[in-house]
Amino acid sequence: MKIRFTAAEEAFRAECAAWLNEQISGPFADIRGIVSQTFRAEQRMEWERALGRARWSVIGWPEKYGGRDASLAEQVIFAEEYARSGAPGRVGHLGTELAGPTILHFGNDLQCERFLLPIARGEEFWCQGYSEPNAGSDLSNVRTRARLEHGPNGPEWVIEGQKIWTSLAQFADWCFVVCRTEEGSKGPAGISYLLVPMKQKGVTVKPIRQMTGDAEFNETFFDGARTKAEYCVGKPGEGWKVAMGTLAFERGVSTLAQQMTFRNELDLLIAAARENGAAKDPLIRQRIAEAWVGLRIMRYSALRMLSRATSGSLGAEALTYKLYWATWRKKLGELAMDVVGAPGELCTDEGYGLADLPYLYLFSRADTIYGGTNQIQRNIIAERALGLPKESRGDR
Amino acid sequence: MDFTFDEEQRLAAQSLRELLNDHCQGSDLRRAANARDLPSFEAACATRRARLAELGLAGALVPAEQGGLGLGVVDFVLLAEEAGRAALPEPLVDVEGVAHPLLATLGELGESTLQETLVGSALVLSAAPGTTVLANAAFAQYLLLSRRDDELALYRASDISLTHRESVDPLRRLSEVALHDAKPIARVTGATTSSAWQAARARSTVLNAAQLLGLGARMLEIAVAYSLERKQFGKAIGSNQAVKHALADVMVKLEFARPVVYAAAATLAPVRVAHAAVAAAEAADRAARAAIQVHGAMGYSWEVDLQFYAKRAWALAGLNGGRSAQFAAVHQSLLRGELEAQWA
Repeated sequence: MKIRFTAAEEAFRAECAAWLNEQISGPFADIRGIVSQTFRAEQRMEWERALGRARWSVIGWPEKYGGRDASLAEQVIFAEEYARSGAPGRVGHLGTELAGPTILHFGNDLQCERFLLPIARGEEFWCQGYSEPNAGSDLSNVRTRARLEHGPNGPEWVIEGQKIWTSLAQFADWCFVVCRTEEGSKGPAGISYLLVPMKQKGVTVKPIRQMTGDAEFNETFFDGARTKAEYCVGKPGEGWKVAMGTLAFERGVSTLAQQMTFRNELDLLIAAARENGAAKDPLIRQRIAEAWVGLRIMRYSALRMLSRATSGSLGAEALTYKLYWATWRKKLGELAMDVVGAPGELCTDEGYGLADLPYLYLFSRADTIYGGTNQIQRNIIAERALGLPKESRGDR
Repeated sequence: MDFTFDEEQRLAAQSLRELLNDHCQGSDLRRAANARDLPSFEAACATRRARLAELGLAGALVPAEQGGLGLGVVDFVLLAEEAGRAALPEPLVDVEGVAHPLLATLGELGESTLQETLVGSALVLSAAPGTTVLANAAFAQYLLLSRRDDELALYRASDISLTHRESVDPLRRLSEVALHDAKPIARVTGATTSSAWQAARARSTVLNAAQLLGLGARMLEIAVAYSLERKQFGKAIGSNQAVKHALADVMVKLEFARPVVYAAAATLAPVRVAHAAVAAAEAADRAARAAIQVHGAMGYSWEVDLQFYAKRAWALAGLNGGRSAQFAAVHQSLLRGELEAQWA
């Protein structure tokens, strides 16, 4: 157990900070501190490419795939400095945090060679084809189907079905699609994990407007969409394991970057409380202190969780993480509105533009829903960590 | 002691509910929310406005000798709850619960304006000193405003600088109100004016609390309906204890807030009003949170009507000083020893 960083690690910190600050106060000053996922997307894709060129995009990956073979400590440091610099949310995160690690861990050499470098370089963007209208919490109920066809381009998967809540699909080049490849199969069996190009005739993306006014999510329709037979991660019919593996990466090092974002949000809230006098209210002060305590708890928990992680597998305590942060952030949003008071109702412009704290409040309503609702998280903890019987199904 | 409402009070609420069932459903709200400009917003609301005028609630809280119905706040509280239930865009509560009785305190000075607004040929709204943003001001012909608590002044809306501001609640047409050096058409000052503003604030707070109860109840209904309809794992999600308990907790919050709001309406005692505001806002917030959660990602989309009710609850909870100010009012009363006297 050691909780301090070495001199070499601190030197690495200085190096990251210098590069990030130079970029974010220079060529990328326009995208500093953006919270909305879709705002100034073009510039942010350019930012992903800049990160890739300087090899800061996926530092934990092997060097041959565009990474730096960085240690866990270095990844922690980079995540901290990234958020501290005010660099915007990563529009490439579905590739760098989910698709990439999944391919690296479960994919074959051919898939690694084909997909990892373009992700690292910010040349190809990804989205996640999991949820469907009737497969939300009950993900294994997916109905999207794929069948193998031998056509003029060799063997190909042909995909039919609909996905929903596909974040950033409008910018994506590829989608990892969880679909049924065995006729008549039910539940986790018979599901495959396919990598499907988005920019083709058989794929239609329709944005879904959120209560924030933003349209980060989409409906994605696959109508005879095609992908090469070899772009199936893991064996056909055994994709469920891969799909669950992807979710474990969601709880990886990126959680530290996320925490720094939370830290920035808390700082924003504190600044607002100072400015409008809410900080004088003892009830508000107490809740601000509680928020800070929660943030420290998350940080130590994440560091402990990551220290124990070996080759993509996490300890049982990792199962508690999503429930904790989502609940914490929703409370932060509520506190933010008690700090801001009535002016929180006002938009900043005529196009339903929201100031950062009201946006945080509305957006945080979704935190306890996406990526597994709080209710599902509690079931997961009860069933997988505590070994309690599975919740009964209504149909099998 | 009697916490029940009489036949007349219940019937009035019932007729408002029926009207709003016909003219203030989610689809009606959506039409207004999608309006590009003020005229199309007004067009989307025109039928409902006309029906509301026919309901005969004008001057509900204005003394009978001044042409009103001479009712009390407790007679109006169920109506406010119904307005909340429907996320009514029209300022029924702000006009009948707050502005009309305030205008009546001007006596002869406000007489002609009061008669004009009571027959519905003009609209009057009020903004307590310190309020800079007012909903629906763009539709008003008269505004009761002032810079200080011991002054009450009536202005023609056309003499006041109003700047449109978009609200997170797409159904609240907000204006930023600036007095500059506008000349009032009537003005009174003095101690009775301070108490008139104080009473107006109390009415506004308690009736907003009632609206929050209505909003909470509506969101709970919507969530219950969805939890019966939506199936996952081969069964209605409402059959899961996690969902049932979340919704049951909302009902507990709402049912415990309701008598607090009614008691506040009956006496308008400052500490009861403050308590009502806190209890109702917490219940509505709990309802919004649970309803969005039960809807999953749908609850978070623009396409589901839930957002109208959730955003209205958010906006109303922040008014009249919000939670901090209400708690401060309770502390102050408690520390001054005023609560003992109110125990009975």
